[in-house]
Amino acid sequence: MLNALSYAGYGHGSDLKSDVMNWDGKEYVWNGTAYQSRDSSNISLTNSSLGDIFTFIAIPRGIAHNVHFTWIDDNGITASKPYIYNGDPSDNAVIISKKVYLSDYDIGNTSTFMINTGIPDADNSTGFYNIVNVKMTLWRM
Amino acid sequence: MRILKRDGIRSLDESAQLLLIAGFAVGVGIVVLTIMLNNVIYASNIASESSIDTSRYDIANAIQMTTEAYEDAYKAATESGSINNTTFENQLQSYEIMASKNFAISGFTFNFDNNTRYEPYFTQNGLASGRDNWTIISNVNTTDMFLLEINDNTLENSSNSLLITATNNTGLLWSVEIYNSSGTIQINVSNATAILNTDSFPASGISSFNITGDVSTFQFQSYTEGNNYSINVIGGSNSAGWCTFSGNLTNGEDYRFARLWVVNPTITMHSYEMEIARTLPISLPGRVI
Repeated sequence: MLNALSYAGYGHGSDLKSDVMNWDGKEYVWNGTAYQSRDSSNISLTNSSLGDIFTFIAIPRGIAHNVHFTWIDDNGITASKPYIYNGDPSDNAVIISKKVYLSDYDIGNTSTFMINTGIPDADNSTGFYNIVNVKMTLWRM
Repeated sequence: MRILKRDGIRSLDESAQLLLIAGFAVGVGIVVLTIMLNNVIYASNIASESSIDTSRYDIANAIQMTTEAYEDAYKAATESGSINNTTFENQLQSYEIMASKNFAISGFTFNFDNNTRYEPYFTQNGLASGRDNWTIISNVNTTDMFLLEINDNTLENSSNSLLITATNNTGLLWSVEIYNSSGTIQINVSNATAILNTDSFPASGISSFNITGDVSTFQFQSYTEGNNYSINVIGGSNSAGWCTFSGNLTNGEDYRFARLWVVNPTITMHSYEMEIARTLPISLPGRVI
C-alpha cells in the first residue's frame, strides 16, 4: 500500500506526501463509518489517500491498522504522533514504514504546518524542510 | 480373621510401591505434555522475525527521496535565474544530514557524493550510456510545451539520427528526425505515411526547436490532436541536448518534464550485514512542480 501511494508522476508529488502535507496534526479513529478526530466528532478525515486505501482494503477484511508519523526534532530526538489510531496492536502485528521527503515548496506555509503538526523545519536557511517516516501497523483483531 | 504370611505382606507392599511410582510417572508426563503443548500453541501465535531482506526497500526509498531532494535543490538554486551553486550544495547537505539520521534508526548509514552536473543526452537516464529508445510520457491528451535544444557538436549523421515520435495504439502519428549532414542540421518531419516537411540549416553550436502547437515546420498539433498518444525517443544517445515537455494527460492531470542537466551521484548505504552503492542519474529540473 505504501509503495502504491509513493508513486509520483511528472509534475506531481506522491499521494503519501500529500497526506503528510495535508495533515492537521489531529489523531483520527475509525468510528464504523468514517475516520473521525479523537478530539471532536464533527471533524472527519478528508483528502487522505491512506484513509481511502484503508477503507477500500483493510476495513472490509477486518484488518486493524494504525499509522504514525515519526520525525527527528530539533534536539535530534525521534518524535512520533498518531495519524490514525485504532488501539494497541497484537503480538502478531506487521509494521511497514516509508520515509517521505518534504521541502518548503511542498509545505507552503511552514510556520502553520509546524504549529499544527509539531514537525519542525530541519533547516531554516535552505528549502529543505524535514523527513517524515510514515509507519503503518497492521494486525488481525 | 485371615492371617497373612510375612512373604505375602512384602509382595503386596512392592506392588503398591510400583503403583505409586507408575502414578507419579504418569502425572509428570501429563505435566510435561501440557507444558509442551502450551509452548507450541504460544509459539505458533507469536509473529516470528521475518527473514525477508528489506534492504531493497530501503535503497528504493533512498533513491526516491534523493531524486526529490535534487529536484528541489535545483529549483531553489535557480529561483533568481542562473543556478546558485552554494544554495544547491547547502540544501543537498541539509538533506543528507537528516537522511543519514533517519536511516541510522533503521540500521543503515547513508551518504551520497558527486553533485557534478553534466550535459544530458536524450537517453532515458540522461547519460550517454543510457537506454536509446524510451517513452517520455504516455496517455497524453494535449501538449502545451514541446521544446528541444540540440548540441550540434554531438549530433550524429543520418545513420544514427535522433528521432522523436508521437504514437498511439495504432502506430505512428507524427515524428521528427534530426541529424547532422556534414555540418548541416537536417530535419525530417513525417506522419504515418509520408514526409510532411524537410528543413536544413548550418550547425551553429546549439539548435533550438519550438515544436509547440502547430507551427508549419512541424505541424505537431495537427497530427496528434484528439488522440491518446505517447511521446517517445529513438536513438537518444545520438545527441546531447535539452528538452521541456508539459501538457495534460487523458486522465485530466497535467504533466511536466524538463531536462537541462543530469547529475549522477553515488548513494552508499551500509548496514551490519551489507554495503549498497548505487549511482543514480537524475534529470534536472526533472518533474518540476
